Amino acid sequence: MTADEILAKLQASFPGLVKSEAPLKDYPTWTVPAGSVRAVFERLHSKFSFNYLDMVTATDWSGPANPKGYPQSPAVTPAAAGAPSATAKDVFEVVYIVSALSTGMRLCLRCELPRKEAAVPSLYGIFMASDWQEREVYDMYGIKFEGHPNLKRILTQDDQQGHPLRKDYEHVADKFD
Amino acid sequence: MGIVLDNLSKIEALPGGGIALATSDELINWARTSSVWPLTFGLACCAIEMMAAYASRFDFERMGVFPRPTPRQADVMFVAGTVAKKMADPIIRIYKQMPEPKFVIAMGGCANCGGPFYDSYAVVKGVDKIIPVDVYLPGCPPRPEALMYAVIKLQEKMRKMTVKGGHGATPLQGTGSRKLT
Amino acid sequence: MTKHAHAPADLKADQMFINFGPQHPSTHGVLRIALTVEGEVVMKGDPDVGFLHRGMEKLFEARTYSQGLILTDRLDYISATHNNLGYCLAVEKLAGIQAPLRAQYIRVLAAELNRIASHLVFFGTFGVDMGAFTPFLYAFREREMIMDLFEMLCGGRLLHSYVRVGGVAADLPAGWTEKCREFLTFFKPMLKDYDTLLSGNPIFRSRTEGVGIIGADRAVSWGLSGPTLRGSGVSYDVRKAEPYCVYDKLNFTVPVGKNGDCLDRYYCRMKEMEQSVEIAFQCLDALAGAELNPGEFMAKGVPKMFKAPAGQAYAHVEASRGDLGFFAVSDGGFNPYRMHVRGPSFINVAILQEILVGCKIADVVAILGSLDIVLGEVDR
Repeated sequence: MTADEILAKLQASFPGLVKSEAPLKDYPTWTVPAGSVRAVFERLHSKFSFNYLDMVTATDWSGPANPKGYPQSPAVTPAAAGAPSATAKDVFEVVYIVSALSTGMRLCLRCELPRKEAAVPSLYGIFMASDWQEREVYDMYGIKFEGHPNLKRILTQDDQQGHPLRKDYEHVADKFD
Repeated sequence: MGIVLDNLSKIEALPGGGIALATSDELINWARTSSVWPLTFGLACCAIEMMAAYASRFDFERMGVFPRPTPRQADVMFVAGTVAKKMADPIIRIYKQMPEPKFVIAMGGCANCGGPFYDSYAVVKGVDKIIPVDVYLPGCPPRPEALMYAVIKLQEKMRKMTVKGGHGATPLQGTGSRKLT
Repeated sequence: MTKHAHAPADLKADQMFINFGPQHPSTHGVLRIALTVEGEVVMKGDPDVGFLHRGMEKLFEARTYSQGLILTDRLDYISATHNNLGYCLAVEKLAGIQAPLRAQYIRVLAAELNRIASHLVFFGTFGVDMGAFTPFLYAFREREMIMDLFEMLCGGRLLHSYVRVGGVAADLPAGWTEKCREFLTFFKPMLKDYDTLLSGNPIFRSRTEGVGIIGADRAVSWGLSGPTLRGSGVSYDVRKAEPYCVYDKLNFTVPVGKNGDCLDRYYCRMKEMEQSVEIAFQCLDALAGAELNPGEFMAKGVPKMFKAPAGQAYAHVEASRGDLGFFAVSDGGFNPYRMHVRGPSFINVAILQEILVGCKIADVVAILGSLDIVLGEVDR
């Protein structure tokens, strides 16, 4: 079954699920509304044997990173590198890559969230691989994964201020700087 | 006694054998420099080069460098790798657990000054911000030979130490490390 | 800054709280596992990571594409070439660059040599974890020979940055292929010695056989990859599933285990080294062939600083520890707008919280060692 056929079958139940305009290169890419993320993955897992969650991550689309996010000014600041602001949107985009080990098919699903109080249902329970990856996204972006039993910081230090991979992150000097 | 007498000018064997005279500084420093026991403690990439130094080709043990798994038996800490802010407090704690006199070799660019991560929000830019350092070893990562050279430099420093404290002693030898934040 | 760990509030009277790491000889870096034990039996094991968090994904955004390469070396520092390769494939996909065929063969050759070096570190340290020190000395003797080969190639021993965007840093130096053949011929029979030295050792076997069993379903659900996944009997290898470079032209098999215990994971790696030797020989043969132009190791016209067209790309490679993916986003500038690393160690280590429950304290070291994690990649 091709990716388009799977999409057509899923669209009957999830009308918000559409093909992305700017796909991930070489992979079928769909955009899914935040509300039906868990239901879509549940269906993919149970009906279409997508059993392997490759990656969960996110992108902050609010423009080039704030140079104040670095304690010392970096060699090439993102803002000075001439990034166009046309792509800037006030959204987070959560990116999932999921694959079926039996057929080797790999899909990319994306979901746009408002930057204020961003939240998306957790995939905990369907794919255990989502456990730590969702915690990492929470740590780096502050996106809440509803239904995750242990959503707390994972990589950064305990008293980290703010979420470092947000583009507007400003570094607060601590006793080690 | 042959080795001792060859290497140490200030130790003299008395005629008849069995007894040798030496200053206590000379004797203690001789013992100290010949058994520099580091802590088995690696942080990042440099730790692999440190392991290579212990292993077949380089054989660190011939210099008396023999890793100890617990800080309470260690003389020297190789800070081999990037010091993340989350790791800073455990490092201070380990350093406090080491008995005096204790030495620190900052191995690699990260432990010296932050290295390639100089502009990162999560890295302590140099381990000397949290604990005193005796020898700075540049490189990313330094070769095992370089680590040996750092130990030789440390031994040179040790030879200058005196029992009384004063010249050549580690900064915290007199006061202990409890004052460390 | 981190708070010192204290026993959890719900600790029962006959239980004990043990802080395993971050400074512990068997954690292979700075991993901390908070263990709650009842006698010898682990009731709860909670891995705590981030002690080597260097904020790399933020730093990628402040580096040009070629500057970012040196950061990737320091992710999984034991197999640096795989990291370079994954990063370069992602950037090449994003920028539409095609590396010449000769460079592809050299890349595969370097990657497989690095895989052997990485598995040798695993072999040595896993032996030390299980109480056998001698394998460590043998493993590092052979590894030094690979380090010499890499030193000839690029000057670096551990961190290579040999694979560059568009190809490799330099062509094979004169006399290198002969040295490489010499090493591979020497190394191939050594694998049998390792089996007699460690794999057949009764103490080693009783500490690994039937310990830390991961079923195939659980392994897939937790997203494990590499030999850790294949030890459970799932034959998933990126080199076969989505061949990159020239892996589709090479002849090799993917060893899989059966029971999913520590011994199977260990043995998958030992068998993989055998396959890597075969792949390396095939690459050397191909490089000696007439159809690959000597000196064509870099795509033409790749500047040091370039803009990638706006878009998103994901490329993944089979690194020594598993499926290593790079997710790159460009907004048309000189820097990546976003670069995410799917570190296999990060995902592999998460399963500890499930499989540690019910095992003995001494088995914690065996299980952790058999996952073969590198903390640089876990914490990034």
